[in-house]
Amino acid sequence: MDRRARKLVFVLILSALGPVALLFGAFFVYDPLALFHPPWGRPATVHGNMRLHAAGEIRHGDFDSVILGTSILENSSALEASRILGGHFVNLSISAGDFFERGLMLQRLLERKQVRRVIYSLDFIYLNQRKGYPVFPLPTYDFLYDSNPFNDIRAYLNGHFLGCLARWSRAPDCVGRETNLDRPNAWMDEPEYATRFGGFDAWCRAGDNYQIRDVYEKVSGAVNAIRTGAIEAPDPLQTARAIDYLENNLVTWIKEYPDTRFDLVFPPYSRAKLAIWYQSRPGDAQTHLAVIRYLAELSGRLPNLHVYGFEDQDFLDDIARYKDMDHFDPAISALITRSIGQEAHRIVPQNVERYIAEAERRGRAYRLDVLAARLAACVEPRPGATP
Amino acid sequence: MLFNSLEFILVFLPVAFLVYFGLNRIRFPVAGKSWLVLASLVFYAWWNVAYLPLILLSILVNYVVGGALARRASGATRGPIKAEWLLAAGVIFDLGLLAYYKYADFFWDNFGRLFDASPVSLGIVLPLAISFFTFTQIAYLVDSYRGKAKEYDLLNYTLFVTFFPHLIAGPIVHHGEIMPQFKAVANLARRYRNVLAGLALFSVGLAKKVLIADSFAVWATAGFDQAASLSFAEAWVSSLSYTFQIYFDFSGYTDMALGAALLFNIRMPFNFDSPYRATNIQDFWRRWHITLSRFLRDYLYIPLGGSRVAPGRVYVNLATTFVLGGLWHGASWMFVLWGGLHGAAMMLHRIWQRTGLRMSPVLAWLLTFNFINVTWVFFRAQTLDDALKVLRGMAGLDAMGGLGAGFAGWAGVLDGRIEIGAALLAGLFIVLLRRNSNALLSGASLGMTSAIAYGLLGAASLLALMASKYSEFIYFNF
Repeated sequence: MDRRARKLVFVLILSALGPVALLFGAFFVYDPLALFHPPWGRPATVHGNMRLHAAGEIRHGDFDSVILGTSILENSSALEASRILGGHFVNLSISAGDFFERGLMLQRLLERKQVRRVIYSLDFIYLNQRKGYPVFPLPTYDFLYDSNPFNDIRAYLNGHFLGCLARWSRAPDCVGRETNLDRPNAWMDEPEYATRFGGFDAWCRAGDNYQIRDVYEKVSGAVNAIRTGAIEAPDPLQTARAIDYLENNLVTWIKEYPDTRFDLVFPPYSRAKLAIWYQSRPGDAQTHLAVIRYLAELSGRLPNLHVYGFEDQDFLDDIARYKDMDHFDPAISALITRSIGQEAHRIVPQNVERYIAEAERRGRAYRLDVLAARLAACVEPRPGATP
Repeated sequence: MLFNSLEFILVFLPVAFLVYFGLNRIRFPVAGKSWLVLASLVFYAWWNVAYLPLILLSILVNYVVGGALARRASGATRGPIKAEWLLAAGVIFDLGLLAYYKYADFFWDNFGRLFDASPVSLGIVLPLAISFFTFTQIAYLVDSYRGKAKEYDLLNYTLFVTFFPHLIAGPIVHHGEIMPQFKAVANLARRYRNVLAGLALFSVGLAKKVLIADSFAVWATAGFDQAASLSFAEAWVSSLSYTFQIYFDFSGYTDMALGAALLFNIRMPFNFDSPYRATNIQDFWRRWHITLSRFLRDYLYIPLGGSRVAPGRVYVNLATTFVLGGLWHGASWMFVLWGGLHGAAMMLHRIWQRTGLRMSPVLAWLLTFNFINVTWVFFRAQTLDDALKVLRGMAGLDAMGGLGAGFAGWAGVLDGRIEIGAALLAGLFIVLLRRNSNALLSGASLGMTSAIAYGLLGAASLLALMASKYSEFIYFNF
């Protein structure tokens, strides 16, 4: 009797672990995100979701420097950065990435690789200290950046990748596109975005685009707030929270890896965006300026930290250079890389107060009401939106 | 460490099993027991090593007191301290620990509110499993006092309390149920029939947790925690989802516990017996968390006088037992309210019984199931407002939510998804019509087909487990 039970125990264990082992074995060989090894029997590819792709790239990719931005740096050329700054750059920027998400990537990257240089965008997300972007929920990929290699298989245990495995597919939505890591997720040539560069008329032509509507609502909202005096009082803890957020998700790695140079870039947002802060959102403005001050002071103590800002430049006033209030044309991306190479537009302890004064002066002088009126003429407000 | 974690299933459990029987095989049974104690302490400390001294202190004190009580009960010694005083000291020590770690913050907060002071948290972290190991040891002390248990070996006693399958969330076991099994020579060797039944039971439990409970959890969470208001249909989906979630979660945990224990030739008591088939509230409590009901009955209700006192006093005893039973689940007025409602239902049931009237079984089931479903709302909701939000929706009284069954708007997870209805029907089918997993422990024989089926169920559960994020058992919080 016990012999039969013993046989059944073996059968039960085999039935439980056999399918799991088979599936894991198949995924190990197929490995569409190159998590376990460089691609076998197929050319190297780059998956459209950089949050998933970067994990494999960090493990197996051949590079020593990285552009780790958001959509703000997705158009920045890694090849150009390599030419100007030396080394071998790749662009691992993640769309709508926050500091927390990039902190996960940065930690794993610095632990696994000897990294020479990191170009990093200081997006305004420190104002709200977001941790995770709902469109790409953290639980769907954060485990790829922890220290446990055994849970990485989770990335494949979903209908999408099971379908890809069943077809052993090389389709772009499974294994990614055959491209390099110069700027794999560049959006500058996509017609939806490219047509919005060139001037106010281009914005008007795209008046029903959600990003342009968003511009209209934010600008007109700010103008209304200024006119009616309905300006929110600053949250006294916002600045402390922002600096804490930066400390935990970025500065800690700068301090821990003194041999890696960090080039932190405050994105040259359009003046309209900055003017909204300076004129109608005093809390955000205070925090933004405090962060500039904090990082500039820190760069005086940490030789591997360089900070760049452009708010004292004229091109921020020219909306022809922007597809919305945040995203600028490829020439500005190139300017940023050149500035890093030339050490131009650096914010250091010696010039930070002058820089801030100029940024504030320009931001306060900008005519938001004029922009709002022009937008009102060509943008249909969303139903129910406050004009 | 969680039963539904890969480290437990693929590393801890196989290693604990192989080393235990390996030591027994080379005639080192004491080393085998020591190994199980060590493994159980590692299992416990995996959560937070800082609380290891607390459980060890608790074990040591109860061992000393229990031993002294057993000696007095057997007449071996009399000693200067009366057995009653010794028992009281031991129970006060146990309840004192529980009161401090589980209820001090609650009482302090309420005390502050009473005097209109701003609430200040004492910041006491609830040690894992304290409610369970406290009740296990109180039962041991009382059993020792009554001469039903005696344990003079610290290793055996530590194994009794810490044996990992029941340590974290029960079943709440008696010394007399477990330790004779460890002493039986026949149990020192691997018994493949037990291993087979244990693995099958473990697979069923894992499937209940990761395939069923965690699916219902998404809809319950959306309704209870995320929605501002609920329509009639949404509210019923939310409450029924939680009703099924808590059953499959806790009974799944218990199946895994019983299955894991059976690998070591230890049969632990059932904790569930198809509770949602109950046709009255008393029946429900004979089927739900059976070992807790047994504890409350034997160590609280009966010592209070039980049913052998005047009717008025019986009602007081019932109310006291259920309110304290509710409070045992957590330091919150919501648990008190939940326990109070069940106590009230028990009183009504007793009054109904005295009338001698009969009710059709279908109507009785419908009443009982709905009462349980409604009272789980208080158990699940964080605040009374949250509970009322769900109950208003269930009654169709929420003006904002309306009566619509469109699952519109408030949570993407419910937005027009027909499978929720199918899942609820499937849940109802399983709890009402399927044979429950106790049959596996009762020695039902397994053939080749069922071994493969349980194996594949385990495979599906393992894959679902790997595909999902960390998910704790509900009863870990108690």
